[in-house]
Amino acid sequence: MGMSAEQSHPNIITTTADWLFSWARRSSLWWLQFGLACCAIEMISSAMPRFDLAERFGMLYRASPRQADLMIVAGTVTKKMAPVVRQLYDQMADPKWVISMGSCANVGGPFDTYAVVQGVDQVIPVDIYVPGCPPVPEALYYGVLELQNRIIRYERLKERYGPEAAEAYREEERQAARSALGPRS
Amino acid sequence: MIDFSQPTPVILSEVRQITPTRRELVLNMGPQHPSTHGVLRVRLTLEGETVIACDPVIGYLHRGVEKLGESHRYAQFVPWTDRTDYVAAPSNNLGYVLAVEKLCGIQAPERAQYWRMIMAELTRIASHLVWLGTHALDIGALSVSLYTFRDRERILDIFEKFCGARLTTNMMEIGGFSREIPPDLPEMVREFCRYFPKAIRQYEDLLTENPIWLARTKGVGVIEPDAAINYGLTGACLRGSGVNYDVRKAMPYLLYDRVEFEVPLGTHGDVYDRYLVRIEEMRQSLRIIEQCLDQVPNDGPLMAYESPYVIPPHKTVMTTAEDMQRHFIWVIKGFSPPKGEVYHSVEHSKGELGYYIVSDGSPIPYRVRIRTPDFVNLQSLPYMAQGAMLADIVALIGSIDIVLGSVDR
Amino acid sequence: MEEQRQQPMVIEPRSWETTGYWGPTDSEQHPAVRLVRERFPEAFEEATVFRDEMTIRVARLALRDVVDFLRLHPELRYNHLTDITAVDLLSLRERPRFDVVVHLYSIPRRQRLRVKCGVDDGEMVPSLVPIFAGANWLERECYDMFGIVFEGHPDLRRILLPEDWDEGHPLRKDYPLRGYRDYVQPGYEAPAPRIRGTLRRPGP
Repeated sequence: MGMSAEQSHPNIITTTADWLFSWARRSSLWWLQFGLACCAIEMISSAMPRFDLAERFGMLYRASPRQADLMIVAGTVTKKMAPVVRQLYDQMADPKWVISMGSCANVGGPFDTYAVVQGVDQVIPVDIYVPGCPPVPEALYYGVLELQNRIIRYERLKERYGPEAAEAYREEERQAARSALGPRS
Repeated sequence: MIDFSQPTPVILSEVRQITPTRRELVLNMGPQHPSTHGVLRVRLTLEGETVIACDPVIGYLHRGVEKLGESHRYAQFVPWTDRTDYVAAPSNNLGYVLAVEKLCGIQAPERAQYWRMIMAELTRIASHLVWLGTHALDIGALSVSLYTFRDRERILDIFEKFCGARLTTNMMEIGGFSREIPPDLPEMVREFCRYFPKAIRQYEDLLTENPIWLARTKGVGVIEPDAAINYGLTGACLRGSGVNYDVRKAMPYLLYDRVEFEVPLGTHGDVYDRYLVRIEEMRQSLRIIEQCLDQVPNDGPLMAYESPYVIPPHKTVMTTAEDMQRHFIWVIKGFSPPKGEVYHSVEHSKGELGYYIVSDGSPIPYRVRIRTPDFVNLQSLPYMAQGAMLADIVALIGSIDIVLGSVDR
Repeated sequence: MEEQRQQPMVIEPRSWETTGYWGPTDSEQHPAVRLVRERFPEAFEEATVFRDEMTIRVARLALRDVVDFLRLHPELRYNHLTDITAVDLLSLRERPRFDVVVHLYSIPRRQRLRVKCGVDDGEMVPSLVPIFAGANWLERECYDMFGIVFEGHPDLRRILLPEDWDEGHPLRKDYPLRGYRDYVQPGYEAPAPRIRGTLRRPGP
């Protein structure tokens, strides 16, 4: 991969390999089984026969963060749990993505109390926000498909302009998603 | 707060030498674990594979629901009750709504009570399906979880038809139901009742006489009846040890004294008996639903509109000025129930769910205490885990049937 | 099934006052009230009824003895501990500030009872753990949420909040709903600001 970035004219074999890697990366996202609250039940339902997020999309849930490249934060993040979330995020290997599922993970949800962190984006950087309380499994699909589009864009930028440009664009997309959550009073 | 300026020491396990030949390992079964049914942390003290001591650490999902109850009106609090035990949300709503109705001294009309019973029993089945799916998944029987979630989707379809939401339903209202029942709903529920016995037979075929299941669950986690009563256990944990305490039979609420059903009891008090008790409870719930469908009147009021504590009917709100004013005041200011305190409990799928509401006469409750069954049941985990092996802890946590939203509130 | 359809549709609605699940609503006739008053004349304070519920108020230091008596007496046998909780009566009553509320249930007699005692800030309540093993976590939760110390509890530490939470006891009435401090993840630059506005700090 590093070789192709340095070559000014990537030959046909290297381009195909890049496309292959990026296809594999987005089509077999293995997600970290990290259900916290009610959204976890919807996340489990989406992996079960009716909605089948696992087999159809090539996704699989893994218990260990070392083996996962997607973290779906499903549920309320409390102040007691936040350091654990951060530790798990740090344990995941690059490249990694985060989907924040449900209103509790987006902005703290209906719980504006002393014990709840108002959004998991106070703890880890989030790529996709899936709204709902809890989001229907079809909404989670939409988030996952949108994430796959992001991965396509990220990989394409990375192969053309290098990793820093890709990271910068990803950060821009994160900011755009965050500001789409709503006005901050 | 915790001092994060220093790097967090990652001590997840610690070995202690007790005697020259015995060593103890303190192992952290952390909040993120596939088998802890949510964010439960268990600190296990192991000697080899045997558990000597076990200390569950909870609070990773404590969201301050009881404090929220002190700053919102009575009718506004119902959605937060959904989110305490999220796999069986309508039962939570029911418990709270019945406690508020007791405080105000009103009763919902008969037709609403029958439908409440039907929804409560469907919720019990849905919750037991999640329990069975995750319990079997932890012990290793993956296919059972696929089957149970497939059947649970049918129940969620019924909920979606009834109230619009699958999981956090916000279904029960103070006084009954304000919206009319969809006309094809009784047929949908009957269709489910015709289908479901076959599904229960499928699960039993896979598990009940399975030698692996028997080896993993028989004799594991035994709790004697006296110890179970002393720990304050309720639900299948108590009935698995042979103690006959079911709130629906002991202190019938709604119209449970008009339907016939049995309360299954276990004999040994181990994980296997609790499993059998819950499977049989699903069958008895089906029986209750069928009787309710036979007895429910086809038309009639669904809401106790004559009471001042209940929201006025939609039709007169839109057409008469007086009811529109009442509606406005009910929504914006709330109703003021009499001063006093009540405790009302319902038989939730996990045990006895009780709501203790203290009212000082204002539209906002003074104290809402949710006595959740899992919080009290989980206390007995160290007792049940004495002498168990490491793999049995997983079976035990599954058999106590906890939902962390309900434990931590 | 046909007979049930022939029944008159107006069946007498059940009333909350006459269920009998908590015993007789007259405190003179209630066996628990009578026996507790005989056995603990100086600790018994009052017995109140609301709807069908009987509540006995006792002195703080006699709580464990009263509950043990209720559990062991052959006529009473309240052997199941349902709940231990507390209520902060800051704005309703001068002192004592808290009420510790114990709900008991008798499985053989199918009857429920509530026992209360008044506790002030800084005073201790005898713990029920020697009698009921199930009181362990319930009392820890009372301590965590209210700051009420139970004397004789084997392991009184915080249960729902982190063990080193230093911001007080949340369910007290003078504790703000949104808390005092936000969570800040060290080493994470530029997290998003709170979407619901900044926390109001308590007064000067």
